[in-house]
Amino acid sequence: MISFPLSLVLIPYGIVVLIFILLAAYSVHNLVRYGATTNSSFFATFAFLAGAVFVMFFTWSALRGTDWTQEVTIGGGFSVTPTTKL
Amino acid sequence: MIDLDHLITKKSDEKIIFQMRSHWILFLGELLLLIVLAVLPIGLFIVFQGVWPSLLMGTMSKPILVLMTSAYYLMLWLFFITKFIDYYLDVYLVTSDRVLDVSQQGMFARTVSELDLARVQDVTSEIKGILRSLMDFCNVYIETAGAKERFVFEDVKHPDVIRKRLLELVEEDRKRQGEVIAELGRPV
Repeated sequence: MISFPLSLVLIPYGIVVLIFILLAAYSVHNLVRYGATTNSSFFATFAFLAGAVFVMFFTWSALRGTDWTQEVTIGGGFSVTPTTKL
Repeated sequence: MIDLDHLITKKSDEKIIFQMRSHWILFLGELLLLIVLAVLPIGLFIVFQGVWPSLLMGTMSKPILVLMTSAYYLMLWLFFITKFIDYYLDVYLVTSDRVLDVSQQGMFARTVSELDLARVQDVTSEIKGILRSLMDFCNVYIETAGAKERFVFEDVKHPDVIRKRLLELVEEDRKRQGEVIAELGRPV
């Protein structure tokens, strides 16, 4: 049986967010450097940044009130019962 | 228009005659794949809501699922911008002096090839397929005097018009170069 605090799952998520930020910054830099003078390039950059902000905002609002100190137990303690039999 | 100064050193009298990229319908195909991938978690959410609602509302399972979904959408969004850059920064440029093929491969690879207009020997346009015939886009092949592979403008709009215009530009460039040589050879 393995137990760990729920907050531990934030670490892999944080790594994903970090990778996203780095690659997103590089992509926006590429677009601005080579195609800054066009409307399509401006629109794509704006849509991309707006979409990223929307995803982060949705995540933050869905996770509000979560108790990150609770323990996750794998191998016995963590069980969820289906309500409908397949 | 794409910023040329980052790619080449322009000559003082060099002008961009036209700029092309592959037809937007090809990007639309990639966009459709993105939409399908974006709808997938919503479909799964609806299915789980019916058969296993406690999984979606559990105090532990909910935050884990939210984080997984968020990571999925962030990666999907990155996939979108990579595809857009791949499409948008893949550009063919024809100036009064040369032909340029700026090819973006993914996020980190870029190739810029140049061809002097005076070296162009033959230009071929071809249209193959129903969609390409209906929407008037396909390839334009540029052959040179050298042994190097031929230049290809892939899936550009109005290939026949481009071929004709390109041949005119080649002719103009040859005339201009001939005048310069004659000017240099004239006794002072």
